[in-house]
Amino acid sequence: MRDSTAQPFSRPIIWSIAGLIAVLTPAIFFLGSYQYMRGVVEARTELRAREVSRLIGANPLMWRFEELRLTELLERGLAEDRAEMVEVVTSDGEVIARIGRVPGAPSARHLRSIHDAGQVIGQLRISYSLRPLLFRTGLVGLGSLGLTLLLVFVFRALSLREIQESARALRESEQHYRSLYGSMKEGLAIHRVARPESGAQPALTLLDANPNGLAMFGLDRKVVLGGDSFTLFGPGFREHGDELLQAEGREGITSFEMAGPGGQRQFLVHAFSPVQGQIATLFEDITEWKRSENLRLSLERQVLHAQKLESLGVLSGGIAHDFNNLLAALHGFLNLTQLKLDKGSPLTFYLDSMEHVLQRATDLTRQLLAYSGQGRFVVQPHSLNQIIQDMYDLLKPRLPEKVTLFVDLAPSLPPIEVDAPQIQQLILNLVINASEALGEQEGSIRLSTRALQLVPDGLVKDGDGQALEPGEFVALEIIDTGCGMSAEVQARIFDPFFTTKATGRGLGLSAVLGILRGHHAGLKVESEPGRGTSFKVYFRASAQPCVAPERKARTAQTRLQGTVLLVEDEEIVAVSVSEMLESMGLKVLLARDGRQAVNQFRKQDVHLDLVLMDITMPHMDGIEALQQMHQIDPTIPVILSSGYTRHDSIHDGKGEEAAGFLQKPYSIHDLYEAVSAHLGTRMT
Amino acid sequence: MRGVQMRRAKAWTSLLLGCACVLGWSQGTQTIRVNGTGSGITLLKPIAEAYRRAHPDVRIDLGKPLGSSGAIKALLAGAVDIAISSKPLGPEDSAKGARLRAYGKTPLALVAEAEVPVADLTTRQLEDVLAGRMTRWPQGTPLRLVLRPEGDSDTQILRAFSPAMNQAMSLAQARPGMLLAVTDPEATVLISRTQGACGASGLASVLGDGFPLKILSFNGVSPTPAALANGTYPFAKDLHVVITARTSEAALAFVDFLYSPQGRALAQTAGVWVTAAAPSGR
Repeated sequence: MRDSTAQPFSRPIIWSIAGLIAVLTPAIFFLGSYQYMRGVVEARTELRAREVSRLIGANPLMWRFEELRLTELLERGLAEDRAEMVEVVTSDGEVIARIGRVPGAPSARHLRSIHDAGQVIGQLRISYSLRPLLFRTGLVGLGSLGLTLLLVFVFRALSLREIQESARALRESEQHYRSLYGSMKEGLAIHRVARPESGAQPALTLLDANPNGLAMFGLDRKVVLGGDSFTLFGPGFREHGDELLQAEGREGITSFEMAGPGGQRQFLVHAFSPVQGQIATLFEDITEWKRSENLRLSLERQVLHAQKLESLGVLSGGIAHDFNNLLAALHGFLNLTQLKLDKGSPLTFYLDSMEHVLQRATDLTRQLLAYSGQGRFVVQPHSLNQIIQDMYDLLKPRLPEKVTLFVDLAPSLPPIEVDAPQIQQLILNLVINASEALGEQEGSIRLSTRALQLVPDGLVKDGDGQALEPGEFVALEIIDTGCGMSAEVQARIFDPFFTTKATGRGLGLSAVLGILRGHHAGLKVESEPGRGTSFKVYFRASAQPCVAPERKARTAQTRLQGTVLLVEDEEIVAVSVSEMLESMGLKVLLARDGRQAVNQFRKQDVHLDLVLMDITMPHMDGIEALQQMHQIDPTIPVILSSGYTRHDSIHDGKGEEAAGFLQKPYSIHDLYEAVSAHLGTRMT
Repeated sequence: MRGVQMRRAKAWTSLLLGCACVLGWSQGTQTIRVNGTGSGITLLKPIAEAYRRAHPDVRIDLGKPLGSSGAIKALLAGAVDIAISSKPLGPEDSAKGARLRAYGKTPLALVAEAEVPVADLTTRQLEDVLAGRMTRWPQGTPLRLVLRPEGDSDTQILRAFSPAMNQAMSLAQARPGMLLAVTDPEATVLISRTQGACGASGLASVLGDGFPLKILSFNGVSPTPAALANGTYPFAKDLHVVITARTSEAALAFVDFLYSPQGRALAQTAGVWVTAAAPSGR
């Protein structure tokens, strides 16, 4: 595998250069040294020849016998290494002087004629060995070879490696870029800006796009490259043409949102100019994000709405509680006044009117309490049909004569676990709402029940988005033929104090919602303007058997005997109820809270026949006091009373052993019936 | 025009007279060509002069000294008739017909330029001078050593004196830029003309050439034939007479004169201790 595209070329080049250096260096050295050596030899030869010629001039007849002088003369210019031989040869070939030894091969020879008065009479021969020069050339060759190898090594080890590393880094960078370009989730397109000289609108031409960019817009690479970008990416892209063109050649990023072709998908587009004359656009599909964001905003609105309702519920509950106590005391005192007034007194009418007003005030607080979702006092298995039948007489008078009420009750319905009075209130509110929707027109209201199985797909939700688990349900449906509602009105019908009627208080359907929330029931509203409205309420069916309704005959208010422990923290209520009990002939002991009541009960110094105890009290509430009293004497009857409780009713395993329950405010008649039932038995 | 003709007539006359003289002289005169070592040539000058006076028809040509080897080569080549050699013959020379006759010895004198303020050299001093350890005379004036070629007999005589002298001579030969004299006459000329110079030369040459030189004693002994004869002076140059079978009668006659009592006496005067026995006749 080749490491680099440069390597196949660089390696022979490096070795060629190295070979040239290794060969040329000793060759140049040899040639230069040979020329130098030859020059030196020629110079020395010239000098020797002149000396010999001078010697000949001094002794022209006998010069050839001057061996000693010639030898000394020749020795003067002998090379230091004596690797040469110098001979003086006469023209007839006789060697008359010789110095030095015969040089070994290879050798070079240099000849110089010896003249006497212009006539050649001999020759000076110089032979010198080339071995020393070749030896030095060899050393230079070895040195240059070593140096070349070192250079090759250094070049390959350092420079080439750096080049290879750089090439590899560049290749990896390109691969990373390609990988990123090809695999990035966003779509990337590069456009060329063409500005016509005529001043017409500049055009955008698609140069390249990554696979996701093409897939986002359903484009085929082979077809679209070189095409008009505004056409390819749709009208949404063209709408931002000016912003795109302004980004060309400038630093910074221009961002905008656009709809894809067909408008089904939304894109966030970032545009920037990588080089002059080009624009890159990064497409991010934000369709799902936008959908999630809208859902999140919707949920946020719902949560805020629920929080608002909860706050209102808490406020309503608190007001209802205080009002109930006040109304309870007021009702007590009113009833006592009625009892003590002579029959036929002209004041009786006023007092009866006052009691009617009190009853309406009680209804109002009950609605508030229902809206708070905390008005469930006694949750027991009931038959929905029975609840409707029990209140039928109550409903009928509330409806105008033009309105016809049809009741269609399915037989053999499973029981539902509810607080019966609250369900009656719910039905009453819905029927009255339907009646008011009919107005002065003739119409009908259909009230029907049925059992059904809810599967996951058929689940309905109440106004708070409370989910219903699949299972068996009992449905209550109230359908009217009234004016119906628009979607906007439907969205607000459960808001407290929202009403479309001039006379309405806007609490009826809010109370319905509170009761449904308190019972974890579901609601489905279907309505169209002019086509009536349908309210479907879904109660989860219970496996518990129904509680048989107690049918008590209203007894004559005869005086009673016995001692009652009244436990009540509200002073005014305590005084009122105490007075009512005493008016019945009962002896009343008073305790201010549960703890005081238990202590008093434990003393055993007074025989107690009955305990009437409020639930919501400081220090120890009525539920806990009841339990402690029953630990002391399980037979003592205890009647609980409350106008409001933070506890989720008596049904949750607490207070079930109570002998009865009185919801504040109650009349003296309600009190008498509750009390006399238990005392009566004891009286016998 | 007349001037030109006159010059031509004179030229022809001179040419004819010259040819007549040469032909006449060559027909009546015998030339004996002698060459050899410088000391030997110098030695022969008074002897040749005496012989020429006795034999007017004989001309003795003492050429520029070729040295012993060169003279023997010239003898064998027929270029000279008698060679005076300070070296023995080589086998090759003998094979070519050279014949050697011992004659005598002349002291190899240590000489200095006339102004040098020294009259004696010791062995140690001579070694120091050769080895370059002594470059100034005791008075501080520069000392300039004049060497003889490595192959010259004078160099070999000094080398043979002692190993220390041999080593000192090697150092001297290796010193660059030395003054060099190839023959004895060249040495006497060079030493006499160079301030503070000293060197070695055959006594015969020193005495015969007549240049102003100071002859130094060696370890207190002056270089004289007598000192050689009694063995007190160590440096001696042999003098041999070399002839061949082709040597002319006239030349042989001159050789005989050399060995004659007159010749020996002349040689003795010229600084030669003649060791050859007196001739008993040819």
